[in-house]
Amino acid sequence: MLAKNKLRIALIGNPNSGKTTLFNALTGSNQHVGNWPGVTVEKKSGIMKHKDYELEIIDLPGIYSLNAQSLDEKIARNFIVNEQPDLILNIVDAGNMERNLYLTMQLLQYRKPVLIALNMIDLLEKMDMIVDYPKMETMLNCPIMPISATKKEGLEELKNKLISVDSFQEYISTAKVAYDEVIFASIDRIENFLEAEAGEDINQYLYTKQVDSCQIDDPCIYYGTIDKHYFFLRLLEQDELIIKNINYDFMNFVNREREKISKHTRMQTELLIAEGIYGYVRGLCKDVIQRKTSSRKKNSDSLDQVFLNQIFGLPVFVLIMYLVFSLSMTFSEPFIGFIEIFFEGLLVDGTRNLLTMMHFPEFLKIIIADGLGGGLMTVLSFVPPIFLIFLCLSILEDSGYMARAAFVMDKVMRYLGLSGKAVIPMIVGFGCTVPAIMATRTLDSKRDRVMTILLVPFIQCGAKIPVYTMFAMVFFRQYAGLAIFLIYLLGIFFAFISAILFKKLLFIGHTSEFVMELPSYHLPTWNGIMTHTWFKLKSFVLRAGQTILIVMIFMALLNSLPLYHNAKDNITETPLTLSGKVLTPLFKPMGIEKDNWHATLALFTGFFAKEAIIGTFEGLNLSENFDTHAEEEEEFSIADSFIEAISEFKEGIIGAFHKFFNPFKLEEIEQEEEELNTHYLKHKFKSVHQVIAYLLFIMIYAPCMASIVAARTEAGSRLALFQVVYLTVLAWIVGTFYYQFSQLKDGISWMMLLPIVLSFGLLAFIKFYAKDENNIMDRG
Amino acid sequence: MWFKNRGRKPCGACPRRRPLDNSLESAFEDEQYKIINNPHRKSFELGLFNGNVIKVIRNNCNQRNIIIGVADSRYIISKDIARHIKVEMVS
Ligand SMILES: Nc1nc2c(ncn2[C@@H]2O[C@H](COP(=O)(O)OP(=O)(O)OP(=O)(O)O)[C@@H](O)[C@H]2O)c(=O)[nH]1
Ligand SMILES: [Mg+2]
Repeated sequence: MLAKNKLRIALIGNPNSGKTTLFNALTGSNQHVGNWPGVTVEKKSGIMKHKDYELEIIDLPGIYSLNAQSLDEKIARNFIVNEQPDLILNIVDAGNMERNLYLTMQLLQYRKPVLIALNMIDLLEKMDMIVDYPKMETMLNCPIMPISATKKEGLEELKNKLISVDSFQEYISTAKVAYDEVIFASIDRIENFLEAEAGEDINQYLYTKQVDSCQIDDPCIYYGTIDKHYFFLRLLEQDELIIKNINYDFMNFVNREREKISKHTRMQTELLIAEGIYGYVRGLCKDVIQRKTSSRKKNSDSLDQVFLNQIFGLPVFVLIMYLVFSLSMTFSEPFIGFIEIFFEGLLVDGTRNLLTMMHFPEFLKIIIADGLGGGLMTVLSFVPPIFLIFLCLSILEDSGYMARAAFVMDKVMRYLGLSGKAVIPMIVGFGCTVPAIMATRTLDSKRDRVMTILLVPFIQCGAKIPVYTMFAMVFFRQYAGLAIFLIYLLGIFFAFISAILFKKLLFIGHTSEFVMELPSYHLPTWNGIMTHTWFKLKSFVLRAGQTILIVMIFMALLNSLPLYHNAKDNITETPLTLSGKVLTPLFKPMGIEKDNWHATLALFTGFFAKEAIIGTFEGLNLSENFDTHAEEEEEFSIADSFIEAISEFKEGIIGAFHKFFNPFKLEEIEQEEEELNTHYLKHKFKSVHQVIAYLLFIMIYAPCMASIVAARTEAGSRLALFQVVYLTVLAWIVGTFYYQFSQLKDGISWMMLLPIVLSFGLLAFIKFYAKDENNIMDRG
Repeated sequence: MWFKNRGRKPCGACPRRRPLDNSLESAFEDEQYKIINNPHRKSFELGLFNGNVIKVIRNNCNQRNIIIGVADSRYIISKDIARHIKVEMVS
């Protein structure tokens, strides 16, 4: 029987072969699945429980071969080499056997336990393919389990197979690849040389470093840790994990062997070895696959005629991105309206009435009804736009269009000094900046990675939507959707400007060459999309909701803590009023007046998480109501407010359709005007220009803490610091410039000079940073 | 100056202008080619190994990448790489 202690199984396979789908199915997790290569960029582990057994399953980024290039590929390869999992569960895409088996053959030659899960067998029928599994098993000398991870076919059998052996050692294959004769001859000579030179302790001779000093961040393969023959073969291929720290004389001998091989075959040694594997795999595929039609890609190819069209490709991309936003913004408005009316009735007025009936004191009513109730309502009101954005992004991610975007946008991206592949992290950034920064791992050069990390914060993330929605609903009600869309566009515009600056000043040189797979399109399934969206939404709303409520209550309480009484202005100063007032002059050139210190504080809390901006405004407003509140209780009935909300919603939906098809036509909205005029934000921001300057600042300034940490992990502290300073200063320049420009009719102010002077300062700062950074680029 | 280099840009990429070059970069769209010599390891390992037959799906003069089909896979390959891959048309 298999040992019952936690055995570790690593999922290894080509990108986009369904590893994460299988991982989710086996462990009940909800890791991100998408139809493009490079979705998973880090190691994730989960527990599979089956019968009495608990096995640890590890999901890894996809690799095409053991010669990893990008960071994500290295994570997977290093895991196999260093962590020595008990079993490698190799996922093979049945529809793309030849390329997938190339990796399999590399894995089998390690002589470690491997089990093959032949995934996507549901597609075999469509492709008119029949696979002779028993024959394949015999030829590879390795167990094969046909499965379909999405359809959950063959999973029980796979689980049973996993626990049915006494030891995974039974799954060590003995399959041999027939390489060119010269390779075998070379290996023999190397082996003889080593035996003659090294004596007893081969590793002592080969390496200057201690054998047991292998670390996950410094992986290496020593003699004796993998199959001897394969060790020599990888040595001939110059596997970086083997030749690191290796004996100089010995390596010279190996290099001479490599030269001999190249001379003899007129081919680089590593290519000759790869050719050997492909020769074997092709023979195998011919033997085990019967096929009638030649290609499964007919539909995909015809779709690509449109999506990758030389003329229409780019406009189609712009149209798709426009649709994502206009759908999300326009159609979320009626839902927000419904939530505002119904839940305001239920959570605020309803709770207040209930508390009045129970004779609660006024301040508790404010805390519970206006504070908690109002806070919950705020949280609920940003669910619709975020849900719709996540939904659209999920559809994009699952359809297979993401990889096409890389091709279509390549020309534009190259103009900015990046490769087309960098578009993918940017699209991911519309959801959240943190995964977007992590997604840069798939880019091939450090230059591209760092530059993309710097640009991703310009893409407005989901957490900023609540902020924009709140301001847009109060100040630009008629055209809120359009206003938010403009903010998104402006963000991209400043990304362009910054990219060009960086290209000229920071990252001199060329972007890397790239090779990328285009997956087949597939129609996203309702179930898949909904689960995907639901889990993203749930974790986002829980996190953001918590932040908003906590910040709100914290701010309200902190602001009720009197420090001393200012007799001159007859107000009580609290720690918040004081710090707000000290900092506000910094933002005066941007139009933030002294009494609008709420706005300043919100910017500071927004530094921790963008949604905290809302929490701050609401919390401070709440605390100010503590003294003034004596609102009349409104008559309240759930039924009335529901009916009102529904009728509002109906009109809203019709309006949304009108708006969607006539985005530039403004509608008249008379009702609610009065209510909006009394909104507390209107007392803080005296003019629309102040609001716009403020939103411009929020659009650009330092990303949230989580994403700064992510940037630090991916690219180092210096870059993270550079990013924070650059973005914040740029935000200040843009905000101030806009505000001062808008005030020109009242005459030129000396403050107009500030952004201009600071712009030169910013350029000097980039130049200064570039001095050291170019060294870092070289090392990358 | 920006206009200095205008018109001087080599369009080796354009199959109509340099049909005799036997690199993948100047291969024609919708034609099948056999790989004669591919020195680029990553694309080699993806299936562009010597002797394999591929199909050129997209190759435009004004794009920096080409799209090729290898068995059931489609790849975007930048012309910087394609330039070094030698191919031969399959009739
Ligand atoms: N038809 C079909 N599609 C599948 C199957 N398994 C996975 N897919 C699809 O294949 C795509 C890739 O799935 P993922 O699980 O993200 O693949 P991955 O191997 O984790 O990819 P990377 O993380 O990028 O390496 C998704 O669109 C899945 O829906 C299957 O059994 N049948
Ligand atoms: Mg994955």
